[in-house]
Amino acid sequence: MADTPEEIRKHLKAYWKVGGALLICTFLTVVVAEITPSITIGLAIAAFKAGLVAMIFMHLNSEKPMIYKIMGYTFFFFLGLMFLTILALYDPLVSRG
Amino acid sequence: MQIPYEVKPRPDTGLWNAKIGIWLFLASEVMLFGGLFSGYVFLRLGSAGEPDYFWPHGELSVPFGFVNTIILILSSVFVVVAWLQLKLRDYKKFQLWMGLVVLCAAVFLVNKGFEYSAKFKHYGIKLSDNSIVHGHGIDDTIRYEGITEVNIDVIRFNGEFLDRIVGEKPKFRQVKGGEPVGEPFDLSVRSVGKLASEIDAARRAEVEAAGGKWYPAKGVRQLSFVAERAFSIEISRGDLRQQMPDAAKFKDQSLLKGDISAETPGLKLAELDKIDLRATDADDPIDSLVWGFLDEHGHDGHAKEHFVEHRERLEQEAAEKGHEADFSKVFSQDVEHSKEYHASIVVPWEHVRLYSNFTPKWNTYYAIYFTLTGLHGLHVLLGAVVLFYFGFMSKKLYEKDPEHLANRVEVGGLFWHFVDLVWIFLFPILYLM
Amino acid sequence: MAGATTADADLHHGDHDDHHHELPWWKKWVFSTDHKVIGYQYGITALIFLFIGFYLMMVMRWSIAHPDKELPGILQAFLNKSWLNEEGQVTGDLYNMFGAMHGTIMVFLGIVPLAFGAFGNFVTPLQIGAPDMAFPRLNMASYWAYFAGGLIMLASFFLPSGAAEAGWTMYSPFATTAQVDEPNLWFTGQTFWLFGMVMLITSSLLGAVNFITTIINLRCRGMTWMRLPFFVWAMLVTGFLLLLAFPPLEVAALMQLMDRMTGASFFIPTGLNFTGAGTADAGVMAVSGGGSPLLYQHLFWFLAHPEVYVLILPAIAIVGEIIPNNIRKPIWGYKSMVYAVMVLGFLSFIVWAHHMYLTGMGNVVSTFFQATTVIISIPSVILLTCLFISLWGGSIRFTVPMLWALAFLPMFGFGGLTGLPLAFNLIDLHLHDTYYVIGHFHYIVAPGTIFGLFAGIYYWFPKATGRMMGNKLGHLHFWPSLVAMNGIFLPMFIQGMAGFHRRWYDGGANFDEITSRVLFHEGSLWANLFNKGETITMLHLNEVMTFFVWVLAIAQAPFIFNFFWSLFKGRPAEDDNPWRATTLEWAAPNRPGHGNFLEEPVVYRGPYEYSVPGHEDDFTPQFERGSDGVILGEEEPPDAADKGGH
Repeated sequence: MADTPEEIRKHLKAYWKVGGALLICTFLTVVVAEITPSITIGLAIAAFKAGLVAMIFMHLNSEKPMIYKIMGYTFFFFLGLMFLTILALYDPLVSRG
Repeated sequence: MQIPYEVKPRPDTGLWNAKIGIWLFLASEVMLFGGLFSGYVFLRLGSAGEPDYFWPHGELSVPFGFVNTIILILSSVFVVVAWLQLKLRDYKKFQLWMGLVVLCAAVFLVNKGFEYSAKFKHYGIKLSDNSIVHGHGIDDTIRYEGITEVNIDVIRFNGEFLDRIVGEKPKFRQVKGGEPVGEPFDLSVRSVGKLASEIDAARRAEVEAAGGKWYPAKGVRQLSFVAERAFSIEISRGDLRQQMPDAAKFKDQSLLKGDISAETPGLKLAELDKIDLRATDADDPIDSLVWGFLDEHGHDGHAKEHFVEHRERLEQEAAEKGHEADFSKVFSQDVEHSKEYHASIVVPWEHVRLYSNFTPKWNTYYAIYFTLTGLHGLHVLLGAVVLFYFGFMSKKLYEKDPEHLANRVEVGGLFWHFVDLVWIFLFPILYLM
Repeated sequence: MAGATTADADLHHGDHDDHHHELPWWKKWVFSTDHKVIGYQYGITALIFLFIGFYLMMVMRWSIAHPDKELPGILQAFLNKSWLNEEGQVTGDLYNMFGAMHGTIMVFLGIVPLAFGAFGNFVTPLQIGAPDMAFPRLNMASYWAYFAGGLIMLASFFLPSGAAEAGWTMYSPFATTAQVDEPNLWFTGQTFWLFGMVMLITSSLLGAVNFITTIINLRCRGMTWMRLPFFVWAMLVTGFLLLLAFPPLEVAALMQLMDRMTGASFFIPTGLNFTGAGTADAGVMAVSGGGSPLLYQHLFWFLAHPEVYVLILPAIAIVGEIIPNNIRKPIWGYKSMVYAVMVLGFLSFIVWAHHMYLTGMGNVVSTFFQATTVIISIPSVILLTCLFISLWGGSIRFTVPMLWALAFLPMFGFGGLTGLPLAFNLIDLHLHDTYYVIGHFHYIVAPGTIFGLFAGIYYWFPKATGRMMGNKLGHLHFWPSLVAMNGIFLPMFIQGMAGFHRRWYDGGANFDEITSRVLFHEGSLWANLFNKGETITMLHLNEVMTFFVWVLAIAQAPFIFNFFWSLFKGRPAEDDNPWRATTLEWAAPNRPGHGNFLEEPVVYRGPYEYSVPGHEDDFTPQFERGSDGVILGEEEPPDAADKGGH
């Protein structure tokens, strides 16, 4: 977190730039969806945008270790919820007719 | 008594309380939306194995979704700019940018309102052979005629069928042992209740006279009545618990025996915009039931001819590309020759498998779409309310302790960014994939 | 010398910062933001719910043991007689309703609010030297959300449909399609259950945010992480379990609500046949299908497994305080216990599908969950072993709290060990949904957690009220309860291995092949002693268990009397530290005021400095400097900015 007015104005510039990048990426997402049916690329762009919002708007790039720990555990459990559930779908006892 | 580290950070952790609090809350929100996303993946991958269910594509308006995404991203920028203005102690600018955030939220929600209402007006009917039609202008009125017998569940009866009687209400007589008994009277929740209590009181006296113990389960559950003249009811299919060719059952379990009138032979959809024959049971889609129920307003059955031409073209394309022919768009407003084409359909009641507007009932795609965007929309609304409060009802706190207000705005902003983050995933997943 | 001054401070006299006038009674006792008052609120409400849940179980056990007999008048007094059948017997529907609500009420309205909401709220700020929780108003909101949820759950009993009846697990599609014969689906027990759960989950989430923030940021001077009492570590992990595991259940509840009220098919598979209550409702449901009942189970158990650790950790926490205090010796392996409880919390998120072995999962998934489930037994065993080993060489005081804490150890141990066979899917094939499982988890929660909670009530009563609970009445409460608990739950393992299903409302009367299995042959010693020489079968065990239920019920009477009598007439505690304990809560005056401590608390040593060689007393409190006290965590001056880590 910046304290001096100059640093704050620098942050302001950075935020507008990131905002612009996000708008461009959004436009890209729609274009990519028109061209290919690939879900991976669309999700990758979304993940990149989310990363920008999290790191820069939410200042996660300069947060305290305690916050990193909390979000780290959360992310791990989030993955567990997603993948173990899907794995269960794909690994049945009897294959689906 | 002052709680420590409300505004100033604690030295060893470097954090003030609400900062920890909001990140913890956001962690729980990650798990909340994570649960919904895992549900989405589960349902979508699960549908891949279903022979008759095709995950919908392109049914949502991409422009609307795109605009909403832009609006939320901009609002994310605005809120962090507002927070920086507060740090620069420029209260007026802070309020300006917060106002823009709230405005963005309002526009987002209004857009959402338009999107939702379009879906509420759009209907689909699934016929008994699994062919599907889409369109607008549903009419699900049913008229039952020649009703004389009525069965009532004493406990659940709430009188709703009485309001549906066409014309003057007849009087009824109770039916006991197959024969009408007693004087005709006006049926109502009250009169039925009174009759039931009288019967129960008599039974109770009998039981106790014989030395037994009375339990309410021994009381009367079902009563039958016969009307002094046949009457009709007019209802919408959605009012009924179950609709049979010769009887109507209401949600309070009242059963009325009668015949469906010839005026309401089936479910009507006034303006079709799609016929989807991918799942039809018929071996050849040309034999699907849909064609028999179409009314083409004087074009003398061209839809079927169009379909035959169209189908040949689709199958040719498919053979070239090596996949199944897609019969979902055999009849759309954008197919050539069909812009002036208008058709409606009347599906006889016995052939209606499922009908609904494009809401969670229609398929699991809409179910997860409404749940995800609805919950997200609720978060947008809540966040906007909180940010409005911080933006426009915080003068006192700003004057007393501006750093405290800045912290609160930061916390609110973090929540807002999270809401934006969720939408960043929702847009491609629901609108584009 | 231990203990602060014996200031019998009232709640509004303790603060010296804001000299406002006395709070009106409704702000002091009803809409209070003081963590202690909120703790009492949680405690009283939860105890009431525990007794309601107990009553429901008594009706159930009557049905199991005596399915043909009319429900006795004393039990009939509290229910709606229209739920009984024509002979006044418990019906299958009533049994299902009470069964579902017994589980729901005990777990969500009873144990967790008492363990986490009451004890957590009351003790945690005191033990870390904080004036209150980090977010006092949020704390109050948590309680009222819990209260609202509880009210909704209770109100559901008064609906025409009765309360929810699809098991505490509320699996779809049954839960979705139950009670759909009612004219207004909004006012059915099933729907109310879902709304009640949303309120309860909200309460837990807000509470968890509060607890974790408080423990991280409001520790007093010198209270470093490794000087925290084990109780606080356990509460921290419990908070994380609630925070991260509850949201998927909220999602599941929301989806089930959508299925029920909007006709969605999240959990309804394609082509599901639905036969309404015996009428011409047969046929495929008029919904879209395409959903999966398994999705509900995954989302439900993702919470419900960490939830069971939420049920046990606070009890281990309480026992972990009472044992060192009553053996006058530190806990053996404090560090191991701290790491074990953290690993336990972490692993608890990746074992959930061991509740779903019989859903048709394949080898890969099944092996994964079996492995994690067996591994998670290790930290549990570590916790229990450390407490057991601690006893060795201790100078044991058999105070009433210690009785409960000591009994907890083998009871929880037994319950936990009986869980190990269930971890293996081959064994689970036979034991799933049998009484073995019921015996397993009840041993952990009933003579396990509840014993721990009773221990806590007797232990912290003087801090909350300034008086001691009666000793003789405490014994009268403890001994019959211990015997009765075993009498109720031990036979369940035998029945379960014989094949008794759970949720049989008639005790198995219709499953003769299983229930008529012989336990003791005619003419044998036991048969002669207890059944006039006739064969004792598995079915007879039902009567044994139901008998002990009445014993357990009666054994609570001394407790209820003791609790209220001691509030007004109990022996006054001789000072602020009647148990001669070392942790920080005993530095505050009895009946602490707003802000808790009369002077700023400072921590000079670890939490369990009992019988330290060279000290005059057999205990040295954390808050006493003495000759060898050291304040840790202050290597740099307190106003250094942005120091990362801890």
